[in-house]
Amino acid sequence: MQDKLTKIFKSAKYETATDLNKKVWNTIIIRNKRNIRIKFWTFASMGLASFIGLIPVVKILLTDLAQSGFYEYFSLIFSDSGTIFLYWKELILSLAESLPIMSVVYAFSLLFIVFLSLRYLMKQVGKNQLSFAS
Amino acid sequence: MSDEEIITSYKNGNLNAFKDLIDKYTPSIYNFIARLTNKNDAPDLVQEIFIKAWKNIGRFNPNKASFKTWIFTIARNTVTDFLRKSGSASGGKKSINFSDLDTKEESFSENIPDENLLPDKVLEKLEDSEILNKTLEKLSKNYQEILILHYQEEMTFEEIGKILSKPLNTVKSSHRRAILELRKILAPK
Repeated sequence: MQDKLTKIFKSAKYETATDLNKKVWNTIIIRNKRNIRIKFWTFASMGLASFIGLIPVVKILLTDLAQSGFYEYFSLIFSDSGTIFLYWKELILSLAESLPIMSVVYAFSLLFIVFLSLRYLMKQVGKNQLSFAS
Repeated sequence: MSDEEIITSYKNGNLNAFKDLIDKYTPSIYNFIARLTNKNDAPDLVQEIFIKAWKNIGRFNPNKASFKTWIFTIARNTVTDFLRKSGSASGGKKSINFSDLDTKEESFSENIPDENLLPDKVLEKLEDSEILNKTLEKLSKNYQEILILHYQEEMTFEEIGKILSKPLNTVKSSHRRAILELRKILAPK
């Protein structure tokens, strides 16, 4: 019964439209291109916006570093090594206290996004998929 | 090249490898879908299934199930959603309850080995594709799925169980009931 039913079911199979698999594949190609295009422009605009934002944030960071006295504490590292060796704990604490945390976090976050976007764009160039992005 | 090798090739950057899977499974998926829905909606559903598979191929785990089982699971879920949306989850067909059968017939049929459930006369009738199609249409979706997957796609009951998310014994008993229902429909009146 098993073999006979298998034979019967197989012989009753519907004919598939000859170009159905081509249509499916073409749809996938179109979707893939669209996804690449969306990703490309998202990363490009994110990278550009982060890079533009990075300029004032770095300026603020430098001003904060100057105002908090970080540079002065930092320059002590290159002064008398004997004193540094004795008071290294205090120096590290002073450096940490004078560090403008928020500005540093903002600057590094933006820098991270810029590098992430650059990495993705370079990858796309490597894969030669930029033709999809236009 | 096996399905797993094709998928590995695709994951390694050969995007065209997915086309081989489409070429290989389009006829089977189309047949499965067309029988459970209709020939008009089947091409769109096939397309939807392959797009879902393409999007989720990263999640496919060959240690859990074969690609065939995986894509038929997607197909089955897509059909269920389609039928629910179109308001014909039951397909307007009678869902067969075994208790509907005559108790006498039930106890009698339970003693028949699986191999002899369908007499030669019934099998002869089914050889006519039109009769087979009409008979299948009279069955519930659940029975149709089991018969198509088992006889048309030559899947094991275990594989069917994975697709339908049902235990092996449930699939086996549903298969038996489906065959009995086929026999009942085709029995001379």
